[in-house]
Amino acid sequence: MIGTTTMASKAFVDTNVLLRATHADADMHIQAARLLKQARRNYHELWVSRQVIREYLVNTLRPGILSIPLSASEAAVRVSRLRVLFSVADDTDDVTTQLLSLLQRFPGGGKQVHDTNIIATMLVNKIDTLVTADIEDMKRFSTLIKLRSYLPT
Amino acid sequence: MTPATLDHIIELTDQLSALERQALIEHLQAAAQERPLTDDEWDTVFDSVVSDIRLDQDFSDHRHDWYNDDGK
Repeated sequence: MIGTTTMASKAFVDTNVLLRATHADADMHIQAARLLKQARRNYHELWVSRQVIREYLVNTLRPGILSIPLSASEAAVRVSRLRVLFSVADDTDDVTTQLLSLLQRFPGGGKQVHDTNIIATMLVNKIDTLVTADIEDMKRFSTLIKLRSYLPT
Repeated sequence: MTPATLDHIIELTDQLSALERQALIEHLQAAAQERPLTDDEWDTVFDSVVSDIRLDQDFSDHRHDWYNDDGK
């Protein structure tokens, strides 16, 4: 299920699209911002998760990526606005149970657990579409979810 | 009254001072607590999150790169 959805109820926005869409100097910024605005019009709800917020903070606070990393107060303002734009899924016990189940079906290396946790969060919250810039890593879950991207699929 | 168009709203928003723009965003944040934002309101809040800070290094699209144990 790759890149073919039109109308649906919920879509999950991956961290990579969120980062590119919210930084004008990032490669593919215009495409990512356009994709998010279009997704807002096509889906009733756009979701992220606590994990996505943490990953957004890692990338914007970490030295060496932004020429001027965000201060903690700037990050707080940004995240407060993201919480207006998106519904935020919690890391719950159900998500952990789903994660453990998925790890049996989709075994992978240690760091792939983080990708798998995104899918677990989506399934628990009945979100069937992932808006992502990482088709390469996420396509292994394409029997469970739909993938949308600005990239050729 | 003529309905506002997105282009008109953007044009007006561009004329606001930084403080007025901040007040507009706070108004929309408060509105979002009461009701779903319209598409145009959502776009306005979204545009307020877009940063023009230059990147020294482009973002990785791969989650495993964000979890490197480099001590930073």
